[in-house]
Parts: sequence; structure tokens; C-alpha cells
Amino acid sequence: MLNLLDRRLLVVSGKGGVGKTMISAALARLAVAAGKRVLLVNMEGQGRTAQLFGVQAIGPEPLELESGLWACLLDPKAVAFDFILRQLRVRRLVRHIVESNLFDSWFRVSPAIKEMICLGKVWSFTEEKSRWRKTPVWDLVVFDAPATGHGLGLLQLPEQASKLLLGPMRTSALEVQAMLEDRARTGTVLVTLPEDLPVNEALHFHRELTGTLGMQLDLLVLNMAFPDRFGGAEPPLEDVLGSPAGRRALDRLLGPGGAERAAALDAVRASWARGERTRRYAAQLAEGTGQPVTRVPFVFAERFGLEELRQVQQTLAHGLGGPA
Amino acid sequence: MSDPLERLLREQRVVICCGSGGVGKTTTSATLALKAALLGRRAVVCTIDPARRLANSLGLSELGNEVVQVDAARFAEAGVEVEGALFALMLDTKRTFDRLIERYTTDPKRREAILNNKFYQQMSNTVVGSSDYMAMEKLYELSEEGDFDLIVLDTPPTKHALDFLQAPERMKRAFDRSTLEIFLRPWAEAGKRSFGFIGRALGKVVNKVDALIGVGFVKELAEFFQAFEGLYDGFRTRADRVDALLRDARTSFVVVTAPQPLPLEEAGYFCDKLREFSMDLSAVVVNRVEQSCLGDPSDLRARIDAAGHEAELEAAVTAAGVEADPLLPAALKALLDQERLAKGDRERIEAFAAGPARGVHLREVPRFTHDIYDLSGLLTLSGELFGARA
Repeated sequence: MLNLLDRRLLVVSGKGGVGKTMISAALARLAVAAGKRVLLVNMEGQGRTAQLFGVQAIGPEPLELESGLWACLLDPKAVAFDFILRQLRVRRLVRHIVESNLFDSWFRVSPAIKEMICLGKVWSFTEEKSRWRKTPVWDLVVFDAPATGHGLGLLQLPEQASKLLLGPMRTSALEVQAMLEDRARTGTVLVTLPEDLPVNEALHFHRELTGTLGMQLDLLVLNMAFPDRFGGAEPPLEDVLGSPAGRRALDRLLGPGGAERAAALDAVRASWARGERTRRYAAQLAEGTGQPVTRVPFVFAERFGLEELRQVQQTLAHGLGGPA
Repeated sequence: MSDPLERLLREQRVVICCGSGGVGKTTTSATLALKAALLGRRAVVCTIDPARRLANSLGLSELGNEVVQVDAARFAEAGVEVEGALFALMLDTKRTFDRLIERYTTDPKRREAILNNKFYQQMSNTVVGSSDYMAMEKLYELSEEGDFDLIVLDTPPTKHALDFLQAPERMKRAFDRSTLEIFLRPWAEAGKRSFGFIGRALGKVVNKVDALIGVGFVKELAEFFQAFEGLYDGFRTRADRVDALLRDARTSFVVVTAPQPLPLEEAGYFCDKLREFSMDLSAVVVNRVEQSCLGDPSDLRARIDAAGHEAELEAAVTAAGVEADPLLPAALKALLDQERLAKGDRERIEAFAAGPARGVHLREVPRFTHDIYDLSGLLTLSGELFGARA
């Protein structure tokens, strides 16, 4: 398989709340560690990225977070303004159009257009060349795609857009589509969680991606995978915690008297069940997609910081089969 | 009745649940409607794309845009008796939009023109974009029909609260005749000869924009708005009424969230916006709260803060002695990890309650061991939300 980090663009998809922003940041850092100059593109959740790297805010202009790693935020309206300005060239007219109520309403209710324009912008980052040496400014662009909630979301846009549009927007849609479909240039990453709805949506996403679009999924991440502490079969927890040794340990941990033993047993059972559910969902994903599932372990730390991000990186590096 | 959430379900006509995706908003909405039915009201929950299994359990398998009554037999199976009645419907954005068009177009030719217009089809079909408009529209429709004592609306997981609350206002603006005229006049007049400087300039813009997004597209857009001519007033009046309904004294908002940083941040944003728009924010429901197994965990937490997790674990393992089961350390680790999660959730919820949710009734629901996808699961959730009486 082509090394994922050697592509030009990574599109990280998944429904809201699955941890796309963290996975995107971890992938970007892996590429930096491999000596690449990387641009991390957020459309939302840039607050988390900024917090993680200890910067004030991430704006539309690429900002260097650490050596080799840059980040920016796409504001759809600003991107649209730039796009239209390049075509019409009269700033006042463009402002008049963009600020009109109709444009505003239309722009808001047509997410396809809004997101298509942003996807076009992401594509143009991959095309950006340095002025003197004419080499790409960014070795890799990692796009933390917005949560669309439904199916393929962003990835199917260029195809739809090229059907509906004409002129330069159609041309650009076709170019974006060609880029997305070129596996040597674009890698697709899907992030999901060990829960019913996210897993079903991930399976749906995979079917649509490989079926309707004829594309491949390069990396399937099961985030927040709960640890499998007891190795499969239901452990005899009542015996383990109820034995004299178990009682002594609980007395030491929870305080003497044993008033909370029943609750403790329930909590450990729930923990086993949660690990078991993760195992089941991972198996369901692997079977449904025929692909390896990279499990990123649940983070128990109260705050997700750079140290936790480093651990996620290591897990992903394993999943990619490359060096950590 | 001292319980504010229960009072809401007994007295209000509309309860709107909002929050980010993946926090159990749909399940919470369904549970609130279920509880209202148990309290003797005719309640309907309007959901958007619920988990298929949850839909099936409510009898929504046909994915219609129509209200379906949850069969009494299903309640009997789950072992409860409902005094009122529970109804559910799954929002179909496109069909709701189509119906809106059908209601306001008396001329069948014009109706066809709109329904077949490419721009209209794209706009009404894009689930993310117009579902917040249509959720509002459906709410109004249900409220006008007057068949129900209580409507619980599960809103789309829009990231921007603003979008959702401003839906009626934006709808109004989108169909504002003067805006349309200003914007579309250049196209309408592009064919005519115009001598003035402005006329020539506008003509150039028209050509440029046509070149930019395609003549066909602009033509479709113009046709779309032409077909809408005469409908504007109807839409505007309707948007005004929806807005009035949202501000009605018998309409309340419930923000649903989970105790992780991102959902809490978004919930805080929702709370602020609801206040800003002077909407009635009645309660916050925090789902999936990790529990401590200790009634008072302060002692353990103090020791962990002083010595660290590893030291506590080691001390407990040492206390157990050599004859302990080999699984014991893993079990103890599980307990300590759970304690850690519970502590993190507690701190975040307290900060949230003192910050963005200050002065709002806050309800916590513990994390369940299993996903909720059927009626008995909803009953369990109801038990947690309202006490075991459910």
C-alpha cells in the first residue's frame, strides 16, 4: 500500500464528536516527524487545535504551530469572497453581492456550494507553489473535514457540483474531483466511535465510498477504544473482588467498611462490558469493511494535551505500519 | 409539582431540544415525549434521522413524514401503561418543503415549475442546509393542527445555534421581495438596452456572474424566484408566526449535552444564544455522566492528588497480598480509571453549571452500560431523568 503520509492531501471524515480534530492533528504531526511541511486545515474545532498547541487563535492565514506544522481556519464566506473577487476583480461589486441578503440566504441554505468552495480552497493549497523554487509550499495538507452528519458529505460534492455548475466553478469542481479520486495524491481517513450510531454510519460511509464513488478508504480509525482489561470472556469479578484478598484491596482503595463494594463491583463490570462492546464494534467494522481497524485507545487523562496527542500518534503510526 | 422538568412536560405546548450531535439529543427528546405521555398527555416527538433501531421500536420503520402513534401493545410489552398517547414522526425535509410550496401555490403550472426547478431541488434536498428551516416549518404545522397537547422537537445537529434560531428570520429575508428585486433586476433587464453608466456596469456584472457560475444556473435561479412571485407574502407571514411560536410563553427550550469539553462548549454557546434571543431556556440535560462508585470520593481523590494513580493502585495490590486473583490488578485499575473519568466529568459539569448554565435547572443522566435503542431503554432513561416513578 502507498504510504498514507506520502500523499498530498488527507481528508479526515466522521460525524460530529468522534475526535476528528485530534486525529487530524496527530496525522499532521506524524507527517512532520517524517520531515514534511504540513498544513492542517480546520473548518470548525480550530479552538481545540489552538488550545492544544497553546496559541491564541487560528485564523484564515496559515500559522506555524510548531516547526514544520502550520494550521489555518477556512471561513466559507471569506473563501467565497476571494473566489468571486478573482473572477470579477471589482472589490466593491463583490462586496455588494456577497453582503446582499439573497446571497447570504442562498449561501447558507446551499451547504453544497459553501463546502464546495472550501474544498476548492483546500485543493488550491495543495497546488500552491513557492515563488522562487516552484516547489509545493505544502508537502501534505490534512483537511479536518466538517461533520456533515450524512453519508459521504464532502467527498461526493465535486461530482454533484460538476453536474450542476458551469464555467470556472465547474472546471474547479472537476479538478478537485480528479484529485480526490487519485489515490496517489489523496488519502481518505474515517474516524468513528465504538457506539451503535457512529459504527452504522461508518459502515454506510464505507459502502458509499467504495460503491458509489469507486474510491478507497485508506485508514479506518476506531477512536476512544475502551481497554480490554480482562481478555475476552466475562471474568468472575464477584469472586475476584469478593475474596478476602479482593476485600483487603477494596478496603485500602475505597476506605474500610466495605459499604461501597456492591457499587465497585458494578463499576468494574460496566468497565468490562464497555471493553467488550469496543471489541464487538471493532469486529463489526472489520467484517463490514474488510479493512483493518486502527483502535486509538480511550484517554483517561482529565485533560487532552500534547502528551496524549503523542500517544495517539504512536497508535496511528502502528496502524500505518510506519515508524512512530 | 416541584420538579421543573416534569412541570414543563405537564404544562407546555412545545419543548425544543437543542445541542450538538452525538450527545443523545434524539433519545432525550423521545424520552421527554414518552414521559409526557405517561403523565397523561397526547405527546408527539418530531425527530430528525434517529437511530434506525430506535425508530423501529417506535414504529417509524416506514420513514414517513407523517405522524405515527406508538402502539399500546409496545408499551404493554415494556410493562407500562400510558395514560395519554405517544406519537412520533421523522422529519422528511424535502416533503415538508414540497408541502409548503403546495400550500401556497394555487396555480398548478407554477407549482410544477417550482417543484421541477433544479435550484429548488438542490435547496430542498440538501439535508444539512434546509433541515433547520423545515424543522421549524413542521413544528408550526403540528402546532396549527392542534392535535397534540405537547410537541417535542428534536432539532438538527447544527453547529451554529444562531442558524437554527434565526431560521424564521432568514426564511423571511430569503423571500424578501425588495432583496430579490434588487438582486435579480440586472438579470431581468440585461436583455434591454440601457444607456446609463449604472446600467452598463450592471450588465457587465451580469455577464461576469453568468460566466462564473454558469448561465444555466443563473437562469434556474431567476426562474425559481419568478415562480415564487406572489408567494413571498405568504412565506413572510408564516415566518413571523413561527417566530411568535418560538417566543410563546408555552414554548420552552431544553439544551442537551454530554460532559466532554466540546459538547459543553457548544451547549454553552446555545445557552448564550437562547438568552440573547430572549427564548425560554428551561433546563439543561447532561447525558452520559460518568459515576463514581463512592458516595463521597473526596478522600480517595485527595490521596490520588497527593501520590498519583500508580501509587494508589500499587498500595491496593500490596494490601491484597500474594494470594490475590491475577485479575485483581486489572479490576482495581478499572475502578481507578472510572474514578478519574467521574472526577473529570464532575469538574466540567460544575464549571458549566456555574458558567454558561448559571440559573438554569440542570439535570444529569448517568452513562449507561448499553446503547439505548428501544422503548424499555427509553423507560430506563426516563427513570433516571425523573426518578424511578416512571
